[in-house]
Amino acid sequence: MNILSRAHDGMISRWWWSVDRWGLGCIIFLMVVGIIMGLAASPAVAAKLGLEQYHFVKRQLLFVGLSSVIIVVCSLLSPVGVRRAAYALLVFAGLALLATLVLGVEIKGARRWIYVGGLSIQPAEFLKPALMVVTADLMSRQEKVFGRMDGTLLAFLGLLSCVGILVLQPDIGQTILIAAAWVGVLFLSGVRLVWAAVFAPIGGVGVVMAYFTLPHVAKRIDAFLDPQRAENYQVNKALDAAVHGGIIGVGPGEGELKRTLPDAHTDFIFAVALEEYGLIACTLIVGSFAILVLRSMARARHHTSSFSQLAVGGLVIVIGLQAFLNMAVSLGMVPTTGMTLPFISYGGTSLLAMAVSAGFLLAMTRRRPGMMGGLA
Amino acid sequence: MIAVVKSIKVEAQVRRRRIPQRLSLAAGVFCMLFMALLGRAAEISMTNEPRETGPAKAERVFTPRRDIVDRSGFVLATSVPLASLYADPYFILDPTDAAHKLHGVFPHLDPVKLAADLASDRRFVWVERHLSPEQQEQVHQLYLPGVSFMKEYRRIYPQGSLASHVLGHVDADGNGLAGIELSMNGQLVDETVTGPLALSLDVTIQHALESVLAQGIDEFQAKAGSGVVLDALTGEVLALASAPTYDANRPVPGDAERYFNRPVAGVYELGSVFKIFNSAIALETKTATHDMPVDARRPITIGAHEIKDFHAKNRVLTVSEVFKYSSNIGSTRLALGFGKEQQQSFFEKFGLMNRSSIELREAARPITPDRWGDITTATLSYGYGLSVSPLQLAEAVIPVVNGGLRMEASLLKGGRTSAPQRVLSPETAKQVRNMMRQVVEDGTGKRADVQGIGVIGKTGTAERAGRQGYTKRERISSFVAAFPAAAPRYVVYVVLEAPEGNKETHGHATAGWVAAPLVSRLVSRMSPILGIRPVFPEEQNGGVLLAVERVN
Repeated sequence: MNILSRAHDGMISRWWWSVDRWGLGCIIFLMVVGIIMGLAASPAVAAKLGLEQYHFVKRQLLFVGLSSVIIVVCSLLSPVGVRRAAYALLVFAGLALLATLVLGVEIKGARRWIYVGGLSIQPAEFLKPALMVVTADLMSRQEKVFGRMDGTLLAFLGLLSCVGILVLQPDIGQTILIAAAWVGVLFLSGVRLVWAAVFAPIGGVGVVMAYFTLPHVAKRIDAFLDPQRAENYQVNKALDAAVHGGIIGVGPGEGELKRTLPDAHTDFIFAVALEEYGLIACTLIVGSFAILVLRSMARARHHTSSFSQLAVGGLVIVIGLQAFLNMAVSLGMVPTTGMTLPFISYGGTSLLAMAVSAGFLLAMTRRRPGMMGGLA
Repeated sequence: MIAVVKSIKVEAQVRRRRIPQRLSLAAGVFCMLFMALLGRAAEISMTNEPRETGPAKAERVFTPRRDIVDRSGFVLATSVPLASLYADPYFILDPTDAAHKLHGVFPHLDPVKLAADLASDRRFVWVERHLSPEQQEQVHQLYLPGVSFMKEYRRIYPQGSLASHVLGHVDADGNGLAGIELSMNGQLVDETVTGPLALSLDVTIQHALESVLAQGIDEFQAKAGSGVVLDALTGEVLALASAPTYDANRPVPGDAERYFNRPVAGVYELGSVFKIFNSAIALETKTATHDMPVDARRPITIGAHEIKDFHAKNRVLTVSEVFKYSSNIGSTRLALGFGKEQQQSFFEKFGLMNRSSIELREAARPITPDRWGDITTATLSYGYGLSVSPLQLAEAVIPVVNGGLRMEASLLKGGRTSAPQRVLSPETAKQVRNMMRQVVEDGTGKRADVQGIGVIGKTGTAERAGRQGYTKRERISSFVAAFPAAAPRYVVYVVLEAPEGNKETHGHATAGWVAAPLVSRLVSRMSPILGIRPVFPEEQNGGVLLAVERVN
């Protein structure tokens, strides 16, 4: 009997029939796009670094394989399982994040990476899904945590400690992303919208402080405000590539951008896609993220557990916002953030961490008896 | 902060119920963000013009120069897009470092000067034009901010040096500098005209002419040479060659000799070939008939000049024989017979007194005599005293070949639209052609003939006027011809400058020995191309051919 048959009562077939197959499809599609774009973009970068031509492609394939396993394994978890896994991950990621301040390798003026057994890991990436799920858990609790503390306050303290370390690294892009996603979850949890009047000025002050205290942030914002500056080289090249690509693109492998940008295979992979496959690729990629985000939100509406709802919301905001910021940088809409494009950009940490997020997300959006109020 | 916590706590139940609605709100926000991305991407993708990151726009050329093709559409000049490298010094972070790196790719660039350019206040500096794809890749690998490529069209001449003097060449910005590229520059860059510019040239004939000319120059150690092939019915130039030649794809600066278009821009006293015009004028003015006797027994003295014959026969000759044996004495007598006014008037009609109207700016103005006395009339009868371009001479022979009509030579397919002018009567033209045939059958031009085709023509061996007057050592040997003899249509003119005799010519370097054989080779090669069928006289084929023709 077919393992995926609806009548089959195995773990796999139950998973297959309860998981959000559209969302899963989008994630697979994006990872395939990542491999295709990696084939185009990374040989040029590998040549520049004196590495074997398909060095990055092979590693990407390896990580996509690992990621697929992680996605399936994580999505098999029950909501309780997800919560436990998130707490555990938060502890490990938090400790690792702390370790970057001491053991971290300085790259381009920031300590964001630690080396574990020959692999370089960026703990902030793993922190994001864990923090979102934990925040959702804390905010959805009605009883006090540890007998006296309010869940939201505790979540806020959690955010503060994570953001504190990130600022020390410094990693302003991740800081903004995590803070924004946390605020997003807070609003999802139902606080009155007037609270925006409190958080908006805090965010504003934070950005202004970063501008005046961190030179590289100031540089990026200056470059964004005055695109004619040399510091804006990568973004100008990315925009040229988008113009070059036009509607249908210049064709596979025909793009020039990958040869001119050192980060073509990571932060600017979207621009490579735009040049080679044009507006069509842009529509497909943006469309896939949109389907993933909107479907997850729609499915979460029908959950009866507010933890599930907030966790889905938090995870989706992190993935969606990071995707938006990366693509917006390539299109010259926001200052350079140094963020990868989820599922597509080259990078082991990025892919594996995104796999955890996706796995958690798919686990939370699975249909379960009794958990889907309106539909069950 | 305590107050915040309290208000949050009180609302706990209300908040729970708000979650689905907030999820929809968040979905709405994401919808807007993604729409914004798509909108922005669409805006950029639909931009047709490249983005403006520097002031370089005005310098960009987006439409290529039109191709130039021969009469059957064979490409002679085309434009290919290549990348050119420019810098915007405003973006250059470290001019010295950038100059050093670029010097690594382009070793011929001066790093000091380049660094100074890159440090300047200008917003546009050319680094290198027309890069090869390999060089472009190397520059990419430098990851230098502030240097960019722009697509430029580079002119390519796929046939190398073939017809280079007709085509000319362009500068790095694509402006015509010589030849058709210069004279037709306006039309070639005209964006409203599509399709290539079709010349009257035929590459196969051009190639035949160039190779025969080059062979001749080599064989007779000549300094230079010219060649022209015209269609006497339309005035179209089928081939025009100047040797030595050049390849416009690989310019050699300073080698002016090679770039000089001899048949068009060079003027020469061409000598006895002028006897064609002299005889034609005599017959047309009816001051002579072809069988009229002319006294060529002894040299003529006019003023301080004595006119002698090169192939002296020292007897009374007919007008035909004067032509056949190229008698200067006889020619002078004919010229003195019709006089200075008729001579001037006919030279004017043959187009020998003015610049050729050929579509080339290089076309030279003839050097006309300052004073036109009897001695001038006498020397002009055998081609001294008036310097014309070889092309012009070939043009002037057209009326004799086509039955009396002057056709201005043209390098454009189809020739001129203006009505041809009658210069000679058909009868005069025919008689001169008969004389030209005799030159080849039994006179100075025997080596020009081609069996079965038949060539008519006239030799011309001129001594070049140097600092010390006319010198025997520096000759201009030329042969002007037309073929096929039965119904001549094509005019061929071959000129060798300072040829030397060799063993085969027994040391002779006169036209009949050096220029005539080249015409013969040329006609042999051109006839099949032009579709001319050989016809052999009856005694050679035993009457079979005529019988076959009758059956058909």
